[in-house]
Amino acid sequence: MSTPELVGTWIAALLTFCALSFLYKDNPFYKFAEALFVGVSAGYGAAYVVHQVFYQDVIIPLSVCFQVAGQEPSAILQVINRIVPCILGVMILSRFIPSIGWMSRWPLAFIIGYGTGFNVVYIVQTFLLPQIYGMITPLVEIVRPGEAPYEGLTWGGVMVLNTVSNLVLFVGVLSVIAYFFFSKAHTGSYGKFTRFGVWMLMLGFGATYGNTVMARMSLLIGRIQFLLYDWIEGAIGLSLPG
Amino acid sequence: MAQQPHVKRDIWASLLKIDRRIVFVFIFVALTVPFLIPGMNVPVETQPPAEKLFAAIEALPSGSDVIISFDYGPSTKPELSPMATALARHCFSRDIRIYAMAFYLEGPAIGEQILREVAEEYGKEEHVDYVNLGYKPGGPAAVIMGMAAGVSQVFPTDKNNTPLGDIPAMSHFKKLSDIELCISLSASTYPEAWAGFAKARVGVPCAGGVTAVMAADFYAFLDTGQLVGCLMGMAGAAEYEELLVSNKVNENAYGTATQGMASQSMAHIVIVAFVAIGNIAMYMSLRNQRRSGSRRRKGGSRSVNS
Repeated sequence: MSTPELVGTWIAALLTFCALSFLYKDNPFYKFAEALFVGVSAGYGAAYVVHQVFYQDVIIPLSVCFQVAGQEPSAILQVINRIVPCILGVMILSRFIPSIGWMSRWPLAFIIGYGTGFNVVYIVQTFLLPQIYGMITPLVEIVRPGEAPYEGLTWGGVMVLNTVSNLVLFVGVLSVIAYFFFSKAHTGSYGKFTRFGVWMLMLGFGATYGNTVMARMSLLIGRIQFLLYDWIEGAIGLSLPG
Repeated sequence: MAQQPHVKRDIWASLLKIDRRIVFVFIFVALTVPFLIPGMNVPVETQPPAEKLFAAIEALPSGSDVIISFDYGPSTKPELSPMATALARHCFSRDIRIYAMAFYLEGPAIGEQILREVAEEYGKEEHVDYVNLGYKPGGPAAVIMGMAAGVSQVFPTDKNNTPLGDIPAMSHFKKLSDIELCISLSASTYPEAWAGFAKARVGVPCAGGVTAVMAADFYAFLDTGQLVGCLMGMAGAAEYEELLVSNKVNENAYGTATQGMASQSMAHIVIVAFVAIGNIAMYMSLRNQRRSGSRRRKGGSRSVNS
């Protein structure tokens, strides 16, 4: 392990302990690690954006455009393409000066208008139509000759488990939608159907909660692996069993 | 003898008031011990979402071009980086070129570290076999649709400011339609955006690698074919490592994900045990309260009658 790696590993290990110390109770070491993280993240982000975005997308193209402006008429258009977004970006900062704060509304109007228009099509193409289509077809799955052999349970050429799964999905989606339809009282057989929708929602929340527990454990496992292998074995030099 | 129900109630009530730090200690021990016991591994059963992604890459001919978008930061590295390593191994073993990019600021640095390590393993070169295009703000809509018109419009240079014209691999990737598969490794909903723009508008197949928190949301995209495959959490990464080994792509592919599954299983057992204990204690405590309440009422009524 080289010296910079060694120093980096020790700092990372100590900061890991500072962060984990919050599990006992709030303390100055945790606050220090938290503040350091926020500061470093903000600094890294600012420096990266200036270097990777402002320099690449504004400074370099503009300098090239100005160099060839005399020979190539299209260079003027390129300059406008770069300058207009920059002006809109600066206008957003006008919020800090109350007397000219109104100027920030123009770029915001542009962002909202562009975002809404673009996202309407995106939502329909990604979430609405394909999901409705996927929910409905195929409701009953049949073993077709010539296709890859199906190893699951079949009954009269129908793939039983796949079909049951599709029906549960179909009825589940309808019952959840019915639950969120408040213009009709949830009573009688309709009420029982919406109750089924609540069960479906609970199953979904349960699956999400289980996955969340798994995700959080994975993150802690990552830290433990770092402490055991990178810090104890790599930086300190102790060998561990296992 | 008359004191017995009172003692029992105290035991259950004290179990309900157990200090949360004791739970933390149990979890920490359950997570750490499997790493310290030699040969303690759990078998990993592969699931269709990971198998489909493996099959999709396996079906690509040698010399294909794949985008891996590193849409995550250090906070979700333990789940997503093992996926990136396994996918890079699979691509390089089949001589598939990788173009890395990111919608997260920290993504390019993470991607660079992983690609450099795996490239060394397979003798691959930067700018020939893989390119790190870096981070681009503006959101997936602008960036992906910009790439559909021309990559150089969005990424004039790579991460280290090398102009795209000077990078040999970029001769194969002029616009998004030149790509055979886009994979977004994300701690957020970016694979949805890839499916919405790259798949729906340009027709490029997309796949995802997501944290376990997001996993349930992505089954719907697999069913509709909007994603050809998806790796879900550390378990998904472990499945992909298993697929690499069992299909003889790389016999040394077992990595941190497979290693972590024993810990994961132990922690789940501890959590389930605590949930069960908590529920039993709650039930017993309420039952004891009801019994002692009814006993007091009976005692009270007797004294009134007498």
